[in-house]
Amino acid sequence: MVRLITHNMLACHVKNCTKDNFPLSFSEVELVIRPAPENLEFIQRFLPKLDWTALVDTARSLGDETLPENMPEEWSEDQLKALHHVLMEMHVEEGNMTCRGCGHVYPISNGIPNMLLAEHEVGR
Amino acid sequence: MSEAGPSTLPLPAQTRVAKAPKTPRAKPTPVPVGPFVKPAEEEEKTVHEVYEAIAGHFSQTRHKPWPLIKTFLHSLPPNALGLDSGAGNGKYLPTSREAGLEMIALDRSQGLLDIAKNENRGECVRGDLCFNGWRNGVFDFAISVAAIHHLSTPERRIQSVKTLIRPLKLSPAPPYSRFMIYVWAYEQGTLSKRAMGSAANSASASTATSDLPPAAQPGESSRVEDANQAQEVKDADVEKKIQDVLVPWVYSKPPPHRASKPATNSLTASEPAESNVIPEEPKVYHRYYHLFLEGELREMVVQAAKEDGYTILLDGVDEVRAGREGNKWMRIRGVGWEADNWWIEGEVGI
Repeated sequence: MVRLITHNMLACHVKNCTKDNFPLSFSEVELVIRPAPENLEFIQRFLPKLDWTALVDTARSLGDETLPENMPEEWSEDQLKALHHVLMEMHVEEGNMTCRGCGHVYPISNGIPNMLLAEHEVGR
Repeated sequence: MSEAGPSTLPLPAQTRVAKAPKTPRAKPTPVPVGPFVKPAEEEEKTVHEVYEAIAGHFSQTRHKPWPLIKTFLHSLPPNALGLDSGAGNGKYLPTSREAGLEMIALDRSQGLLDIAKNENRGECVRGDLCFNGWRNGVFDFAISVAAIHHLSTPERRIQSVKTLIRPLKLSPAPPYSRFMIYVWAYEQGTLSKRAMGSAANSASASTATSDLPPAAQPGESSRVEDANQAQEVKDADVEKKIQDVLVPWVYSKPPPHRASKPATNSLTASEPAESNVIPEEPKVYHRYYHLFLEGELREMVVQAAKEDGYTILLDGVDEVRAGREGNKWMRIRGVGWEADNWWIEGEVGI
């Protein structure tokens, strides 16, 4: 259950990969929608950390068009609810996350993304 | 430390997963282990492979949250988002939810993560303690409990502290982002409980009702005897203290309701002895531990912070003044010993 909130925090960490290493692109995705208790205070608290463009592009690549192109300056309750849905209820169960910079593929299996690298790929 | 054994020595046989000795009732004792020539490969054998093999059994012994971690999580602002690095079976996920927090479980072991996801219902990411892929500033808190002691070199341990702290949000005003680290102590059991630092008072009060120390939990040897013998040599010659050990885990197969969980038994399921009616000799696995000396955990955290450009605030120094110079800063909120472990709590800001 890679939620989009988690995807919005994950970048490629291959050694020397610093360009286009975020966001990772989904492919071959099995998407599951799971209702989650609505906690709009949590969503509001997360707003300053959110990479909006990455989220909107990713949501659209998964077929969700509910988010506006530009991040709202003031949020209505309905907009926060839509954001809650995208961040907390959209789960990628299976698939791949691919770095657009270096091409490294991070597979997702049973809802768990595998971010492990071989020792020689790890940057310090 | 480097004098303890030349790195040209062949690796001891104990670094491999070992079968039980011929006298199964004899309690296995920890084995000192020399510096690893190839740390990543040796940790793979003496940590990662062991946890995959014992995941189901291990997880049964890891349910009760340690009180200081629980207190820490409950002290954080509601709706904070955090990371548990080396989360194992995710035993702090329920505690974090009770405290009104969101927490992501990061671990190297697929078997343990499957338990974290299925039983403790957590958002899980597979990665090691040095996973460096979190965007900066996304977390409000981070914990790493009983994990960093599985890294076998000072450099790797320092790196794990850096990657724990880097994704913490740097705020110019409270609430600041906070972290807590627990590691196994060299000073085991025989010494009286003690604490130091600003959190010492509340900490020592709560140790009186502490959970089972990890060494007293099923499957683990109750004492690190070699280390304690070395302790008697007294502080004069630090070189003689054996801090790097292989600690035996006496494996017993978890009961079917747990053992049948997918992937938690992927390794044991392939054992041909599975169908035997006669109980087999318990298998003994050895996990690598670095036992931390008093002061070492704090030193490690400070070193990591300095290397990453943090100003270390001493007690009484105003963080606003430090931040005004544009510096990111770290403050150690407390250091202490609890139930055979050293812990440290800190906060960062800008």
